[in-house]
Amino acid sequence: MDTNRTTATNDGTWGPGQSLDVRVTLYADLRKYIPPGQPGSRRCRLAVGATVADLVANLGIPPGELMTVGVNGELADTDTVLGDGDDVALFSPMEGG
Amino acid sequence: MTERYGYWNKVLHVDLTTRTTWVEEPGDRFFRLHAGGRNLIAHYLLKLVPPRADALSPENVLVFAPGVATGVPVPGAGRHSVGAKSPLTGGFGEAEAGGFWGAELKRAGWDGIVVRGAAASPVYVWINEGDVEIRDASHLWGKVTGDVEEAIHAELGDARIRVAQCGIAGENLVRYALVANDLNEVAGRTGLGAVMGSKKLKAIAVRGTSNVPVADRAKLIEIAKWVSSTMDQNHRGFHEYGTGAAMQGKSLEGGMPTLNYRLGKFDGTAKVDAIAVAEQVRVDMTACYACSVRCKKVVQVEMRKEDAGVTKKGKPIAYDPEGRWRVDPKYGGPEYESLASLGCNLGVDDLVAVLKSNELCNALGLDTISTGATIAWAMECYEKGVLTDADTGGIPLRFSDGNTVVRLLEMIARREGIGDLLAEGSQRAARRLGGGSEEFLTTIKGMEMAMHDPRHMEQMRLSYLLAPTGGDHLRQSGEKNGLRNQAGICIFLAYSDPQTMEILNAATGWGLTAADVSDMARRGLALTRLFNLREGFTRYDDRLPDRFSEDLPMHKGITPEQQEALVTQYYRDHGWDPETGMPLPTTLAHLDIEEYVPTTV
Repeated sequence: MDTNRTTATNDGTWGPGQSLDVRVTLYADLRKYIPPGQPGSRRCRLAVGATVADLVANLGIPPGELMTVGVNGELADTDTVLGDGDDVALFSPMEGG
Repeated sequence: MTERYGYWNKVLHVDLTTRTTWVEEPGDRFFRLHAGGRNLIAHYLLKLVPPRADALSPENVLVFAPGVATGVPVPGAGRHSVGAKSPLTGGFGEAEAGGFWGAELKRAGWDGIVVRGAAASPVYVWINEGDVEIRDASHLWGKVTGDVEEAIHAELGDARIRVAQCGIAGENLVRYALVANDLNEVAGRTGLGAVMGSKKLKAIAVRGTSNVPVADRAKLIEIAKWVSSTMDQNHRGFHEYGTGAAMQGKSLEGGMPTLNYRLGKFDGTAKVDAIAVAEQVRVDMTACYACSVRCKKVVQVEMRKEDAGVTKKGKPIAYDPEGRWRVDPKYGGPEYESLASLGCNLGVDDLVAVLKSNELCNALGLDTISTGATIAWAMECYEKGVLTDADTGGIPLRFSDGNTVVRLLEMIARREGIGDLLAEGSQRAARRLGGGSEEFLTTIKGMEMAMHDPRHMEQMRLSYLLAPTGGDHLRQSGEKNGLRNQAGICIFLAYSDPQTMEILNAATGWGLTAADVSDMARRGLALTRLFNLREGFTRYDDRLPDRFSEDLPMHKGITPEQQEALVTQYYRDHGWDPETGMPLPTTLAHLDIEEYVPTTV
């Protein structure tokens, strides 16, 4: 099963039931990881069993980046295992204002 | 004369009682010691304000203080501070603002303004380059900020004039009245607008066209280019949304002030955050002086659908679905603190009401943080039966009711009905009301805390406990804030500390080291400490309100013992007496500020 937990890309190599689709939105300072011109929300296809950490790596965000994670409107963390159709929100910590 | 960069060695003094003005040349040592901002303010308060003076009397002194880098051509260099003895706390009062006014003052050839006395009738000060005139403002008294700015532009025949002013709340001595400049930039905290009002000083209008002399223009241009060429990496979130784009994350973490700081999670956060603002009501983003980040929201809402056209980019302009209000774009848009204090902490998820509240605070001259927090305190009093309909004139002060919040703002600014009590700020109001209402306070040293819960955000604890201004989130112990305050550089720019030092050195040519700028920041904190000790503050005042010893659903309370330990360590770190917080003689000598002690403490 470990092979299913590796970071996956949308390369079409998975068979039925082996992958999941999530929607992810980057907020505030994390928007620097969105390529210019692309929207803040996007869909990602990951291997079944993927965690938020796998998703974060898939987005090209360095592992040390501080962030708050929400999955389907509830607080989560990078170890949270994702399910098909999950809505993931990643926020940078905020100060000031 | 040696070459001088970053400052002009010219401080304008205005005595409103005698209607006289004069120029002080404090000298190069003075500027190297204080640079600007907080330090400059502390110098004049310690030297000129008699101990225990009434903050709303002519004895108080009002200081406008840019930094030595304010007005130089780099992003973020549009900041200035305003200070006086605070009518809200009775201690050191100071607030920072962005926009263009501070840079304009520097470009008019001035490093600061010191206002003392009080006028017999309303006046405004007109600074046209080196010329200064005290003019009648009777026709401006009682007008909202937008009308005042328009009238001054018309009267002086130049729409490029920058205006700092106190608003109707300041005229009526609301203890948390602000000083607004450029209509949507404010020195919001500690009630400095009331000090203006007490002096019958409606506004200071400035026009200046000289470049601030700098030591290394090429370096400054290089830094400005770095900001614009790295926008995507360093400032994309700010550039696209401004402040408040991560509010949903703060709520998820259980750290969003909600219902007077009793909960950490507000279910309506996504309805009133910067994302909602951008998607529904924002019509533009604007900038402060010389800044490419452009993080300032501009919002517009029309009262009726038929009046709501499209923006210049073709985006439909929003309208109030309930047909209640128009929100005027000339007052800008809400920052995070305002979205949280007028929205989440009051349980209000009605975006149009939050925007109208923010607009009214700018138009009337009210600090959104203290205003929202004072209303939150009053709503909890009402919920618990400590305030009744008999006290409120029949207005139910219920959380979640944005219409009532909007109604209260005019009442506070004009001191009408229950607004007269609320205009005193929550701490004074609680002392007057009694009945256990002190338990609902969220004040430190008499000032309402900003919208960052220290139970959630550990890094805010020292700021709240030890900021000389009270419940202030931007006065931390670290050098970053001090250095930027005294230089006049915005804290939102992603400069590293060495980069900020480069700006300071390129502006002044001083060749400061990291140790020098650390001393500069600590000098400011020590001077403000001396002022507060002189005014009767003690270690007892360096503590959080009782509410913050209680747990939030997701975060532990901060016990009095934990607070004591933090305070003692801070005193030690700053070279202050670990018991009393009095800066030690060796510290005063090292910081070269011994002269401020004998006559002051």
